[in-house]
Amino acid sequence: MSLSVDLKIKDLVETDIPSGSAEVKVSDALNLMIQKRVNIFVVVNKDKKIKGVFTLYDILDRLIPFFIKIDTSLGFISTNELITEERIRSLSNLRAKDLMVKKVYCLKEEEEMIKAIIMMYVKNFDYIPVINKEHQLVGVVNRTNVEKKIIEIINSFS
Amino acid sequence: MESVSGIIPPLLFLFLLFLLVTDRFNRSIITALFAIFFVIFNFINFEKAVESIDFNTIGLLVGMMIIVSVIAKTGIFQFLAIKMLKLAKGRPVRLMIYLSLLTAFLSAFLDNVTTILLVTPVTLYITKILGVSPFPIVISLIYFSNIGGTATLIGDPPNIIIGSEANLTFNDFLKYNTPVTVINTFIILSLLFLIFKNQLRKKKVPLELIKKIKEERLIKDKVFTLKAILILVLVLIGFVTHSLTHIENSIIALSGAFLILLLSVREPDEIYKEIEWSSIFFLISLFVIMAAVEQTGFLELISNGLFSLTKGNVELNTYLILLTSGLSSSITGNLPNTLLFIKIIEGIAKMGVDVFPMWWALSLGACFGGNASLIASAVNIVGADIYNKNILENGQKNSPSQKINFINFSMYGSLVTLVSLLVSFFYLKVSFFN
Repeated sequence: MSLSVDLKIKDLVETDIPSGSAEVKVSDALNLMIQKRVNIFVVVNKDKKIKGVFTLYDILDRLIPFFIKIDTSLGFISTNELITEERIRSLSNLRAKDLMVKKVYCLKEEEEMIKAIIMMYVKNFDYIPVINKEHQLVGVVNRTNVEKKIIEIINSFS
Repeated sequence: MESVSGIIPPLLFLFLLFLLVTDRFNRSIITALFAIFFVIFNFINFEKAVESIDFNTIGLLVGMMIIVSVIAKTGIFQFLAIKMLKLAKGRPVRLMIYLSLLTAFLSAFLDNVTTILLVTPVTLYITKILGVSPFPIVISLIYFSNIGGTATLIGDPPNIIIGSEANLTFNDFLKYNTPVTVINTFIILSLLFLIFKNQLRKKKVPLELIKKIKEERLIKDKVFTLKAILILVLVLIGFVTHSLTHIENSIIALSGAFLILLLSVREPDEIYKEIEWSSIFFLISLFVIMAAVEQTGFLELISNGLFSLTKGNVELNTYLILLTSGLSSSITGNLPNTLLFIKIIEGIAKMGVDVFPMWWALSLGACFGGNASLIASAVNIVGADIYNKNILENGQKNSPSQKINFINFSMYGSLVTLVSLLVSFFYLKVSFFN
């Protein structure tokens, strides 16, 4: 029996993604993320090599003060508007390099789709950056890409 | 000492103390390994080792840990802290006083570490809203957590052990330790007020904002919270009426614990995980090690030495125990120190001396000594850790706060301890030697 669909990472990858240099302002990065409807920003150097990533999670992380993180009930007793406003304001001074996580799990174009599925299932990743043989950024794989692929395979059966 | 091999257990114990001070290994693991070593090489036989473990202490500790871990999740601590903010009408100095009194009171009946773990985040929240530096308030709360724990039999582990080993009741502690703790609380509060009042000056209080806080949202299940508090009160009544019922404290605490587990909607396994097994194993191992050291006769030498040093003067001996237990607690932590001193005092008692005042000297020294340095008590490390992580996260050049480090904690802490020990000294003098 031969496969009717290709199950390689390169067949899932989303290439139109928000990326830019480490100096990009967080607000500009966020704008790009909204525009492209992708909740990850990949920081690359001039050679398109990945230097780090940040997701919406890393931005949310900055909005919650530490004392609320360890006692979340404090976030539900009102009067937190001032704290939230101050936090958002402090975000505006940040650049991508301040938010990015440097240790990045990547996938290669030629690898199998199952690797992405495992990373999403076990490590709970929403987005996984994809690189080519030259270690340059190609795009990301996200949950929607996997869903689309599943549909594609199901349709190919009928 | 019977033979040369008799010197090995005391030497190993000293080596263990050294390892504990260096803090290179987890204290419960290294102490357990030492205890196992003592049994394997027959420095103490298995039967005696099992006999040496004071299950009344262990049961009382485990029972109270279960009760506290259930009450901790009700939100009542945070609720009370916000109430203090409203009572103080947002004035920082008053807030420091009220929160300190609340922490001292809670620590007297509940585990000090849990108290600090719950009160510190809400304090950071409050100081953020008020726009004042959290440093003076958080550091005061840590000191008062140690001070408050001194007040009762169940306030601090050393008291639980002393109570069980010396047959002192909950009421004895209310009679002898509570008054001195109350006096000390007000003296230390005045001291900290003088030190920190300038840092807490604030012209404008955001009263409107404070009024908006809905602290009742912090209590998730009002009915269960009331039931849990009722069980705690029943347990306390059980302790107070011990002389009538003769039910052991551990049995009272464990009945409260399993009753509260029965009423709680949380899975028991989840609550069992919150028992501080590390402290329990640490204590069990220390019991075994101390029994092995005791049977070598080494501790009798110390008892005799101490007694002849003071020429058999009970009063002088009492002060010496207060001072040395206060100082050594700050270095080795108060558990090994308390167990060592218990054996020494028991040795002195064998000489036909009335050691009653010495038990209180030991308790006051061991508990108040917890403030002397950052590593003297677990509360200090936990409180400072939460505080510092919050500062670090803010990360900020314009942060109004300083970190709590070994130097600034110990600077104010040794002053707090010194004054507490002085208060204890006068108290012991007036109570027993007048």
